[in-house]
Amino acid sequence: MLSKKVILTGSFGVGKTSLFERFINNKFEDKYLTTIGVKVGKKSVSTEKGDLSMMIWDIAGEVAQNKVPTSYFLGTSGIIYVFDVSRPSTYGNLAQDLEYLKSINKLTTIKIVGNKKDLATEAELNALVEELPLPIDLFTSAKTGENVEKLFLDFATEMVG
Amino acid sequence: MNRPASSPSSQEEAQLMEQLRQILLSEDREALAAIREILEDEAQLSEKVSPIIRQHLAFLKENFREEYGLIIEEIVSKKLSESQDEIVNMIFPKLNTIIKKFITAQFQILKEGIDSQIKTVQNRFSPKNIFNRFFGPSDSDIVLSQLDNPEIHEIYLVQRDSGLLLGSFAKEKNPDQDVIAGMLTAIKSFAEDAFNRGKEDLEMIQYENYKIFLHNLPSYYFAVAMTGSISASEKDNLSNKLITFAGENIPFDTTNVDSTLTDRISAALSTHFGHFNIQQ
Repeated sequence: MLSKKVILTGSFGVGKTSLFERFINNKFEDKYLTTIGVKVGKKSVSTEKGDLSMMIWDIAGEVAQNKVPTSYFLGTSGIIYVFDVSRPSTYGNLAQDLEYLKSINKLTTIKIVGNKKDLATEAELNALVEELPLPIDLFTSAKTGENVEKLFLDFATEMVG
Repeated sequence: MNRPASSPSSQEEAQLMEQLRQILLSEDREALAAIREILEDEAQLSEKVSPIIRQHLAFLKENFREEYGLIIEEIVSKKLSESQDEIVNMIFPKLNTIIKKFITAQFQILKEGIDSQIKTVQNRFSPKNIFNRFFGPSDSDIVLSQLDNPEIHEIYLVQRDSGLLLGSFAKEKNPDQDVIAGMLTAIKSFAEDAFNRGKEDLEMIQYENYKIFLHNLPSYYFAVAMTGSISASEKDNLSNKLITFAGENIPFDTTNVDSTLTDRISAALSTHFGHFNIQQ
């Protein structure tokens, strides 16, 4: 079985740890506890193209990605950039952040994910897609679990292939 | 209306009442005067009251715990819980002094132990010992090695950038080795970034008697978890053994980490380090 490193990054309070907990332990906590440093977790997944052991690094949120220690991104096969659909400040730097992430790790696949989908209507999400400068890969809700499994499984399939 | 001739006048009535009072209350008035005299005279009052107080004090002395113990305990307990910070502040300087004294005493015992062991090194001027003095381990290394033998508990071989586990060896199986490898890498990255040490590497993580010795190579690093004191020569021994192991067992390209590779390296680690004596 292959092993790959995946990073969850984005601004603080967007739900990175909630996505991490929902995917790894199938748990959701309403209480907000800020992540200190990094939390590492592991989950093995089976895809059509083979099995994959995903080492997921949940990084403490930063308003701008250039504040995150560069060494955390080294050796990464995939980055999940998470923002909160209900807080515009968390996707205000989307274009600059993505440009920065691509510059430090050129070969990495990056997914852009709008979390807290349960806090927005379908119309609001459609408006957001129009408004943002880059295409969104998926809207998720760590609270309800919607699209969380799909996010990681799709990513795993891409990495195995 | 006229009063009957036989009934007394009101003045006579008052006189009669006074006479009656005198007859009835004379004893009470005398007793009252006697009590007043006792109350106003300290010596007399003391003579009467002191035995009663003494008796009650004797009773309290005998029965205080049963009568008031529970109430006092509750008050003290409440007061203590309300004043924890004050108590800590009050006790801490004293405690600090006691701890300092204890550490000083323990250091003295250690120093005396080392002195006595150095004295027992016989024939210091024999050809063998003269050779050892220049080329062998130092006296302090010999003494330290006898005091607290180093013991390897776990070894992790970790891909340097990603933190992915390339192989591991543990005397007691640990189910979270992948996560430990990731967290060790995160700690290493954080320490190296935070102190802005450029190309320098974190080499040791230590807590109490437990140490994680990190041996860094270009694309991966070893993390050796151990207890005990490790001397400079033992550290050299361990480094040499790790480098030799890497040369013989780790492929040049470890970019793709899969379970076949990790199983092979883990088996080799177990073979080479299962009975490895760091002191030889």
